[in-house]
Amino acid sequence: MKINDEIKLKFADERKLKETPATISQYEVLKLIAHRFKDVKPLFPTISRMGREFAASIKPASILLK
Amino acid sequence: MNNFQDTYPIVDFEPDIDQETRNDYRFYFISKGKKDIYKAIQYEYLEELNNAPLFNLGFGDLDADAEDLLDQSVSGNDDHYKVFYTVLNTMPRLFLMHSDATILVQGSDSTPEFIAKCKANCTRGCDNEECKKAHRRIKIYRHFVDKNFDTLNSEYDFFGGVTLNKYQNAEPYQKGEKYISVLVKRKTPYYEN
Repeated sequence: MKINDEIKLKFADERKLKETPATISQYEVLKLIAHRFKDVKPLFPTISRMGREFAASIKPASILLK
Repeated sequence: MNNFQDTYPIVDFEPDIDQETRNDYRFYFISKGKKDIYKAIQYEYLEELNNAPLFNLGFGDLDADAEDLLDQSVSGNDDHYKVFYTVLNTMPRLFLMHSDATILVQGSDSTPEFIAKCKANCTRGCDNEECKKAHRRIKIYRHFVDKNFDTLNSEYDFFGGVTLNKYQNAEPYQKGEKYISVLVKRKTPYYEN
């Protein structure tokens, strides 16, 4: 089920939706999204690949604390 | 980096936050502009570097309809400073959990693939010049560090890298240098007993 469908289902009761403070509903939306992407690792493949290539090539001593 | 007033509320849902465990950390917020855009910030744990965790900062849009994540999108929601400051505001939260962490910041528009694709469909007349659309993301971070370096430098150490994918040294950050990688560490851990 698509996320938007889930959101619609969750707030199918319009009366309940109207009574729900906007901040609460947004939090619920974000919580649902976070849950759906929970097992997606990494979230951002391009930047993840860049990070791993960087980590493989950096000389650790060059970023020791001053 | 946590004193910005004009930021979006952030929610984080990473369960079982444990300072002894090398987790990825994720934060979410909604950009409010012409449309509502769900945004995600990820600190991906990469490896131990000098016996401390190295995290890679990723940031982008969530396309709820496509169930996809976009780290190369340009939202056009006219709130880029607010979004940028919201991202920056999460850095101290990571340092609270890992005071010895190093955060790596790069831009997804700095890859050779991005530049090759951009040049193939160039609308900026770059020809043989440097791609004008490349490195724009890291420039935003560099600009911020350059502008606030004297203040930030009392609390953080910054380093810069100038190349991708080559054996390299990161060097102590110098204002005005065209780094394509920026690393940030706290000078002193938050909690020293």
